[in-house]
Parts: sequence; C-alpha cells; structure tokens
Amino acid sequence: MIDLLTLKNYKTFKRLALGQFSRFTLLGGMNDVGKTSILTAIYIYTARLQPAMANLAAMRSQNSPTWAETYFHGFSPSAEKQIEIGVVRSGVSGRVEIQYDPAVQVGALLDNGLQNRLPENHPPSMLDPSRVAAEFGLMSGEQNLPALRMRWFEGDEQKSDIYWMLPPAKPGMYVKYSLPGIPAPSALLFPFMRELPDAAARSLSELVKVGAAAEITSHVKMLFPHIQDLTPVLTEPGKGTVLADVGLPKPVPISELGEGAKEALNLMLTIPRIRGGVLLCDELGAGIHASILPRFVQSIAAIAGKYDCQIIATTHSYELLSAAYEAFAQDGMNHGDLTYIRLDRTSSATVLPTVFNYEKLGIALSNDWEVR
Amino acid sequence: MALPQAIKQQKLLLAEGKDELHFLDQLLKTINIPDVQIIDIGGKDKFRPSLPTITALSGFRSVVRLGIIRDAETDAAGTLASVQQSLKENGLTAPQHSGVVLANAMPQIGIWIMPDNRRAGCIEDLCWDGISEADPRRGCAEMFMGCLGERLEKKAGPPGCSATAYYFPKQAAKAKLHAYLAGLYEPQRELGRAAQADVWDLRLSAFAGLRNFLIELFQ
Repeated sequence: MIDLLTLKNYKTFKRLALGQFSRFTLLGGMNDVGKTSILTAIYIYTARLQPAMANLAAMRSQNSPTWAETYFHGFSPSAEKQIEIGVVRSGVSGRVEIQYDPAVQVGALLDNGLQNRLPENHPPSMLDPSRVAAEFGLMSGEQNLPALRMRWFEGDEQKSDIYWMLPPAKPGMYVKYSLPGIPAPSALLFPFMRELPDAAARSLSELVKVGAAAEITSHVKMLFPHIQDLTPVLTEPGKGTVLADVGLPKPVPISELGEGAKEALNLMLTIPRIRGGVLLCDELGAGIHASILPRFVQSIAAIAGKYDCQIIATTHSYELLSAAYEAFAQDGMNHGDLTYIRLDRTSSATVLPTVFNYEKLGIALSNDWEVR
Repeated sequence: MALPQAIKQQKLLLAEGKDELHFLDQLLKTINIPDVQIIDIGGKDKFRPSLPTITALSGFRSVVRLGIIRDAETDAAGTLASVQQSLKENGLTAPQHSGVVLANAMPQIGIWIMPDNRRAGCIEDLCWDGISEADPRRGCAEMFMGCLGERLEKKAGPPGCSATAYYFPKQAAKAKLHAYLAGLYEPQRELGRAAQADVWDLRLSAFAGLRNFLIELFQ
C-alpha cells in the first residue's frame, strides 16, 4: 500500500509531500490543482514497463511534439531540471527520476542498450533492437534525438533505465535495462470510456475459471438489479466484451447499458487483475446515480479489501464524499480505511494538502460544510 | 439545492448554535461590521471536535481574524481553558484572557465567554441583563420562575429522567428568558430571532462589553 508520495518538478508541483494515504483515498480540490497529476505520478512509478504505460502519452495529444513538456513544472523541460517521483510503499521507499535529454545518441543506445534482464512479462517488441529502431522510427543510429530518460530506484538500487523517445522520433519506450523489482501492479482509469476495456472481459473470464465471478456479479446485481448475469466473451486473443442478461431474449453488451453499469463493472473487474496493487481512478463514480453511490463505494471497497488493493481516486462530488462516509459507517467497515485529501493552491508554485480522516470528514458533512 | 457552507470571509466568528448566530449577526449589524462570517458549531459539546475540521475547511487559511463565543455554563474560567486548549491543539495561538484580542498572532484571535467573561451563565443571562427594569414582563417572568420554584422539586432530576418530570428547569436562565419572550405582544420562540426582531436595543450598556470586543476584533 502506498503510504507517502513526494513530487519534485512534476507538472503543477514544484514540490509536494503527500502522506496519510489509506486503503480508500479520495483526492479533492479546485480544477487544475493537480489531482489527476497525482494519479499519473503514482502510475508512472508503479507501471514501469507495463505496456499500458504508453497510455500516459495517449492522454495528451499524441500528435503534439510538446506533450513531454507538460510533465515538467512550468512547462519547461531542461537538462538541469529533473522530475522526481518518490513513493513509500508498504514501508519500502523508491523513486523515479525523469530527465529531459535533448540529444540522446541513439546509436550508442542501440549498440549497448538492451540486455536480457527484462521481466518475463515484458513486451517482446522491446527486446529486439532492430524492431525498437524500426518501431520508433530511428532509421539512423547516428541521430541525436530528444528523449525523456526515466530511471527507477528501489532504495538506492537502480532497477530500470528507460528512454522515452520524443518527436521527431516516433514516441515510444526504449528499454536500456530493467531488473525485476517489488511487484507494483496498478491501473489508471478515466471516466466516460466509450467501450468496456478488453481487459475487463479477460478479467471476468479469469474469475469465471477460478470460480470467483459470482461475487462480482452479485455486487453488480445489487447496484443494477435489472442485470441478472454477466458472461465474458473473448472474441480473439486479448479482445473481448462482457454480455449482460437483462431479461431480454438475448444478452446485450454491457457497454450498451449506460455509463454507470460500465464504470462499476470495469472498476470491479480491474481490482482482481491488480491484486496487491493500486487502482488509480479519475472522477470516481462520475456516471453513478447518487442514490446508489454508498452501495457502489461499499462494493468496490469490499472487493478492494478482498484483493488487497488500494484505491486512490479524484472527485469533485460532495455526493461521493457523503456516500463514502456513509459506506464506511456500515458495520464491518474500518473507519481508518477512508481518507479524503483536499489540495489547495496557495501560490503558483505551492499546493498544500489538507487531510480529512473519517471523523473529520463526518463532522464537515454533518454540518454541510464545504470541503471540496 | 443549497451549496455547502464555505468560509468566504477573512473574519470568522464561531458560535455555539443558531440562537447565538442570529443574535451575533444582529449585534454586528448594530455596530456596522458587515464582513464577518458566523459559523454555527452546532452545540457547546461540538466545539472541541469540530475545530480540527473547521481549520481544515477551504478558506480557513485566509482567515485573519477569528472570534470564538462560548457560554460559561457553570465555570467561565474552565470554559476559557477548554477553548485555549482546543486552539493550541489545532496549531492556533490562544489569548491568555477572554474579552481581549490577541493582536500579534495570525489569525488574530479573541474569545468571549458569555455572559461577561466572569460570571457563570450563558447568552440568555446577557439578554436578560438587556431587559429594562421598567419592563413589566420582566417581573412576570421572575414571578413565573418563583412559582415553578414553589411547585417543583428544586434538586436536579435523576440522569435520563423525562423532560416532563416535575423538577425545576435545569436551565433556569433559558426558562426565564423564554417566559419573557412568550409574554411579548408578538411572542418569540427563539432568542436569536427575537434579537433580529429588535426585541432588544443592542446599543444599551448591557451589551457594551460584547460590542466593544467585536469592534476591537473585527473593525
């Protein structure tokens, strides 16, 4: 579980220290204060070589040659300015250092770079220098091209050294080397997705195989009583969808049932996939009706507890805060598992966190005081 | 739907309840200080647990002057000590005495213990002091309390006893003031609303101490 996050020169944060994360942590604050940036920072630290790491680039305009600048405080990357993302996770400290290198010698990377110490689940394309070169558009090994150099450390031991090539190269990761570290599974979810991700169908399929799907289905049915059953359908390797039995002559894709059901199911199916990890969620519950929000929070908190998963989510919603408090007030829920952290910008360079534990949040909500 | 209450003013006054809130609002109007936000803590027992939350509310960092109004109940010194302790626990500098403003602090802080920083009592005692000796209803309310004293057990009722049990009112000052308010030509049920309806002339000397305290703190 993540206990502490420190940031330096990362996006809106010149410096930030954020502690007191709990099993279920909500982040609030005004627009542009940096809530989502905290999620992406944790994701960068935890995702490492996960293929989904590439989503970080996709979150920005992929066609923009300046997307990498947005990660540096003040939108001004330089060789001297280093981003540091520090994390204390279950008592173990680690960090990612990100540097902008305006002229990486690609030839030297290709000659000396890839080694055979990659994690087993590493995407094969990264192992082959020629494929890397072709894939990233590095046609000439003599070119000096801009890149972000990202280095991961656990304690003082360097675990990974990765170059994220920037335009004019085709953006992508070039792995110089990577050693296995403490597993840090994570997922970063955004609201209002068009389709249920393939990963959700794969996750449900896995749960069906091990006889653990019924619990997820029961949580979904409690929230959406018209859904009677869920069936994963894998159409081709890695692809798939989830069909919902809603009492019609034939089941319908869950994506057709509306945002709430899709979001809830995606969350519930992501948690088992990242057992022992951290689920990072932007605008949690954005598509869920207020009347079922407490039940929704209770369900995902219960599933997170079962799979030893930490949830860190952003919100602007007073209703979600109330729902979270109500959910954690129920028998069997641990009050200490709920934390709300509001971020306040006190100057262009300073953002201060204010932590509300369960009791503090309850007093604010019972008096109808503004805490967002 | 009404928005949750946010701290929007740099001058903040914490009051024990709705009566205090409405009374203080009227008193601030009387002395022409319009830019003070009053927050109702919700009861005398809520001050200590609520203060950490209030100091965490968005907007509290901008507060430059903070007033705290509490009832003395049975012990003015004890109530002051309790408020001082709560302030310290939340990283705020507490004034040594009530009724004075700690100017060299951020925020500047003042504490007022009702009715007058010395006596035991509550806001109802202050308001009782503000009723003219010439008002005939004053005597009526006193006679009513005397009558209750003759007909009801003077001692405190056992813990948990019914609100209708035959014991003398445990909050005699409140009972007496409400007897007075009930006797008005247009009866008032709440002290704060009565203040807003100009039942009291808040320019009278009975309110001078509190008036001056608020002026020193907020003007």
